[in-house]
Amino acid sequence: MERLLNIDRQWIFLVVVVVMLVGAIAQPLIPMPISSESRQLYDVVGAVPERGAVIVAMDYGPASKDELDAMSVAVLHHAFARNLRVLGICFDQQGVSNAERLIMDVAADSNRRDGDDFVFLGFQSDMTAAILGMGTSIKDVFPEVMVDGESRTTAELPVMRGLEKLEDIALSVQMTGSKDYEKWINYGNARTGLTLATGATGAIVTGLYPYLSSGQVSGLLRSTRGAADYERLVLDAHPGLERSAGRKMSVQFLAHIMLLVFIALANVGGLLGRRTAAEDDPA
Amino acid sequence: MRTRIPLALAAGMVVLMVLAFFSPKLKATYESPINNGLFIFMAFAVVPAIVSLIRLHVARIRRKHPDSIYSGIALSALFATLFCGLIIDKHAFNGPSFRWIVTFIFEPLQQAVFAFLAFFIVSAAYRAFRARTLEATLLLFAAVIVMIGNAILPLPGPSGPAELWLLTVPSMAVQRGIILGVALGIIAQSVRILLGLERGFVGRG
Amino acid sequence: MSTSIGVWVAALLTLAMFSFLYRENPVYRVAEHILVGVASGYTVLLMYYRVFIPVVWNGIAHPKGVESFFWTFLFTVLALLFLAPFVPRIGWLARIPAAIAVGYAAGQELIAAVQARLFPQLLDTVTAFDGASGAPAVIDALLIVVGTLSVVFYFTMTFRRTPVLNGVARVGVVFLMIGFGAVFGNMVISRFTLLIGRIEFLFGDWIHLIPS
Repeated sequence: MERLLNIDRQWIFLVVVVVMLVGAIAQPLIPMPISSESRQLYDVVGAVPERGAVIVAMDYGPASKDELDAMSVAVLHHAFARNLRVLGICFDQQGVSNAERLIMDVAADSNRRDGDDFVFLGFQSDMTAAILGMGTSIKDVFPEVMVDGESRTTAELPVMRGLEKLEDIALSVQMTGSKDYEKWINYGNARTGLTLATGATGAIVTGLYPYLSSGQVSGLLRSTRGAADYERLVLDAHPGLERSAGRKMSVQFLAHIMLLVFIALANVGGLLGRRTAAEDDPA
Repeated sequence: MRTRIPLALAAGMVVLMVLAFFSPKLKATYESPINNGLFIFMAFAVVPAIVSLIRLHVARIRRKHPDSIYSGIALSALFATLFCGLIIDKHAFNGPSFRWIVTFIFEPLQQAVFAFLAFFIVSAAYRAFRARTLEATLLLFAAVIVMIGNAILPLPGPSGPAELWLLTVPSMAVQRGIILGVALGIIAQSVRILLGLERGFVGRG
Repeated sequence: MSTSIGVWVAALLTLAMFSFLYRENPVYRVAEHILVGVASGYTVLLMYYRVFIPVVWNGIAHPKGVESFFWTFLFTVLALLFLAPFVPRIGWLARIPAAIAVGYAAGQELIAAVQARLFPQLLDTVTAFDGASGAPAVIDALLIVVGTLSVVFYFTMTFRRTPVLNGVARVGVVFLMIGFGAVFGNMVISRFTLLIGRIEFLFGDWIHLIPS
């Protein structure tokens, strides 16, 4: 038992890889119910009228890509399927390239035209100043954008017709792996009444529940579980979406069982060890 | 002068931002130029970091430091990326060659670094996650409920799934308490900057 | 196996990074330094194309008006002061743009702390009993109020703690442990997803062992 409790960590690493690989190959089907906060976000996007404008802020970099790309794709797919105008943004320096490619790919799959149905507004170096600036004029913050490989003035794009400031936006959905969501809440929702929804990584999602309770955030996707829920909801109404997060949840099932077994082993072993030590040394 | 001017500027900006919140005229006059100014600041703030990085690695190569080969690799990667982005993909940020570097070099490396955390969380949980005290038991219990509810099976709770109840009631109360505490701290910090008591950003001398 | 050069490069770099799990080695250090170089180049290109050209260059070379030109020029000159530390005698000038940025952030955060944090969160706490029908909802509301106040109290060090106040702090500790447990539980799914992504890439996109 002592040797088991002090096992070399490389063996633990090997077990982790093997269990996840088995999960990825076997893909066990796990019937989990759809969480209420995911459904809430789905309904909020569903309530935006046709040709209403939605900001999709993919504020994450490669570190959160595996967790949040699935969410971004599902939300974009939903928005395009409902014929909403989509404004893409990325305030994470390391995620701009990925965010631009993602919105282009999903738009192409949905037959949406750059400049007419959507635009990738891009990046600005100071998130606070950018959100505050968008509260007055979106075109001042993003004066030029790339449309079909050419630089165009944001103001002249058909997709931006009638969209001057954040009050003209029906909803902003932010995907983030950092506490940047507070900036959207502080400067988007609090200053202009912008309706917000957030998809967050597991590391930071617990911090969003107070804002969900107070109504400052109107919907929440909780890590890969939330992304998988949203994929299922979108697929029910708008087929053609790949179940990327759903596949990961199948692996999560086995991985979580593995971790719980490790924790149980460690606690049982620790308890037995303490009992043995107490018996050996009653004083 | 070397500390008084920056402290006065910081205090002045705090006053201006608060006044602009209440005065639409002030806001209309100053908001857009100051926002644009911040964009310029944040972009230029990157320059000293990059210049320092280049100087550090060039110095290592010049001194024939044992790690100078790695410095050469870092600088080569930097200049190769710049070459692709500025020369090969002219006039565009996300051109084909830059996109290749991001997709097959930058993102996989960054993702691999963070994937380490999964190994360490299992290893740490196995070695240290023991219910030895009341506090540790509570922490373990809450973590297990959330883990099971997230990915294994829905556990029944007082009002709906157990993990959701935990996240929306006791955990939410904790997070709210932290938010309120942080808010009070921010107010105190901002008042300190307004009064010139906060000197961390002016350094010494 | 994949026939794409890019996938092979990505796979080998990923394995080079993972070699650190055994022990630090030259292969890992090569991958680490490639990451440093590419990340730095990425940042420079982003700032150049997305900020310097549209905001600085166009603001000075093609201004919207005299006022616009003035502000852009002024802030560009101030931003150049960030380079002052490279000249020791005038290094202190870098504090000027830093002070402006700090003052801006402090001013905005001061307003946000009251408008977006204190007021809405306090309001939601004191109205927790509104619309609470039935014993479970009332108990939930009570837990929220007690939990929030005890956690705030736990972090307050302004006054001396009597035995009663120590008891309140203890309640705060209980809630904090539950809260941290919830954070850990969610962190697990997050960290696992990162590794699952790499495994799907290596064994799926590269080796084609995982069916797509």
